[in-house]
Amino acid sequence: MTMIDIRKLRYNYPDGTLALDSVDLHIARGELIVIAGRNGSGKSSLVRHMNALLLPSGGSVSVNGLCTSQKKHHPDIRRAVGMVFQEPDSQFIGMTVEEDIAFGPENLGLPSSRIRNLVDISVTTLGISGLRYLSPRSLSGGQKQKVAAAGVLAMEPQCIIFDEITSMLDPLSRQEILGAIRHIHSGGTTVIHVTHRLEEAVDADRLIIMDSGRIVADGLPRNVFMEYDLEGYGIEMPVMVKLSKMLASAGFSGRRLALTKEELLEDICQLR
Amino acid sequence: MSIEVKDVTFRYAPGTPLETTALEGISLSINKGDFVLISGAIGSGKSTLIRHLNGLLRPSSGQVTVDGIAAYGKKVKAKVGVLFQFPHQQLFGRTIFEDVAFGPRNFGLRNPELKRQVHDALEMLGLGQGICPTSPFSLSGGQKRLVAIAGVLASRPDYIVLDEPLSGLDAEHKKSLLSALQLLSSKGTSVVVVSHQVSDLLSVAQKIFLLDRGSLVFSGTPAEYAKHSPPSMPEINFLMKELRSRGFDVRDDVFGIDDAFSEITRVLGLKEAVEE
Repeated sequence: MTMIDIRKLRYNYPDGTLALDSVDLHIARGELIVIAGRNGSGKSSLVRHMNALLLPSGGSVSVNGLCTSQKKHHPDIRRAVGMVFQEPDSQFIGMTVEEDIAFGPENLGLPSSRIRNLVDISVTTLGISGLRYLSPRSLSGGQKQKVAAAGVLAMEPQCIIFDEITSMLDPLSRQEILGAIRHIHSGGTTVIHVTHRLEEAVDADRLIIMDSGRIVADGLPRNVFMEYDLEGYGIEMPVMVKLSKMLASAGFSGRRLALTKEELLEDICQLR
Repeated sequence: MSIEVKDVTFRYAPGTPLETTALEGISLSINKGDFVLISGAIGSGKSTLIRHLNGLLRPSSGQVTVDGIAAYGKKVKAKVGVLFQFPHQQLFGRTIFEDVAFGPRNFGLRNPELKRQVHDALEMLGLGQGICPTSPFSLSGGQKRLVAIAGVLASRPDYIVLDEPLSGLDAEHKKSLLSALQLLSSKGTSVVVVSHQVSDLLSVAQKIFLLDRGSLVFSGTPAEYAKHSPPSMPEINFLMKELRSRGFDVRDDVFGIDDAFSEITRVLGLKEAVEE
């Protein structure tokens, strides 16, 4: 069932620059989608249309059948689609982590027992129960991202968009937040993850590549890696995929294109 | 000509219950033309350390000198150009030209030199001087970051210190930034990059300093770093080590994809493919 339906979407910045050009995209409930593309390819503009932060200059975007160009639908659309940004600092409001996470559900006017329950579930899902009573500003970058994600999760959106949230994190924090994203997805939430790092796409349901405001590839990550010259779109392939391709062109006959270190290791060992 | 950090300890909020030791007994030197990578987890003291290199912070004990002068005066500010994280929050000019020209103009540079240095910096980063009249606010996140870096390069400091310059940059922009920095370093500018994206920098850096909870836990070349094997090593290196542990006779100090490729083709007896 289509949750987000984008048709012939065009978007011009206020100065007239074309940011999105005739984008068609249908996202079903429960998908885990990675969107990648070079800087300025239109990734952020595209996802900002999905919760009506931006409105189309042409074409249409609808969420659960509600068209974003009608203002009366915005509250429902924004409840359905939550967004976590790259710089969590700009999103904190509460004095403590708990207060911060409770802010969203409080604004929905839920009873306090329900709010407590939502906060509990969110901190457990993100693995940040130990941070509840700390000030969000005292946390590390990775912890802040998790708090921001927990705040969005507590609103129970059907879909969460993560817009380049891993780009400022060290490898360990990145692994943790990626684990949390997978966990959120396994609970049935639709997840859209915008990133530069294609390593983060290997286990996604769909990988979408953008270039110059258009979608240029859309499919299973393995197929996208095989069929497209991603470097031509200014994106670095995961290093294991690249090595696997180089070996294939040197006559190495692995069973498949390896996506991870483990797969490549297995293939090399079998061919000994 | 060097930056010397000698036995530097730094405490935030000294003498209060909130006192935290951010750096402990750090000694290192950065020489003319060095390409240095400072790495470590979030909170390891990287950003505190670089704030000492241009005198933004004074050590609680120990000393920092730049070309023999204590690192606190205005003289040092012109020698050491620093770019912090989230540089795009520092953009303010009406046009990109105004933004990039701000630093060198403050150091007294006027046209035509000013114009030339601004254009050179933009060209070097692959942005081209054509974008000069554009508003910096119409740029994408990665382009904004490059414009902010151009602002540092345009002042032509002897030492360039960049905090996480690669984050948010796509492959193309990363490549142009790294080759610009390599070029500068080969011409004698010292380049200090703070980053946890170690794998992108191992092939260009000459020296690596690794911080852990305020202490310097490693200093050496990329090859020595590979032997040290911290968790931030590129995956390629783990692949080679695992192949080795399974009886393949490959080198385990490999961290670049091309070296890994030749090692694997060698042990598997494949013909070397023609490189693109």
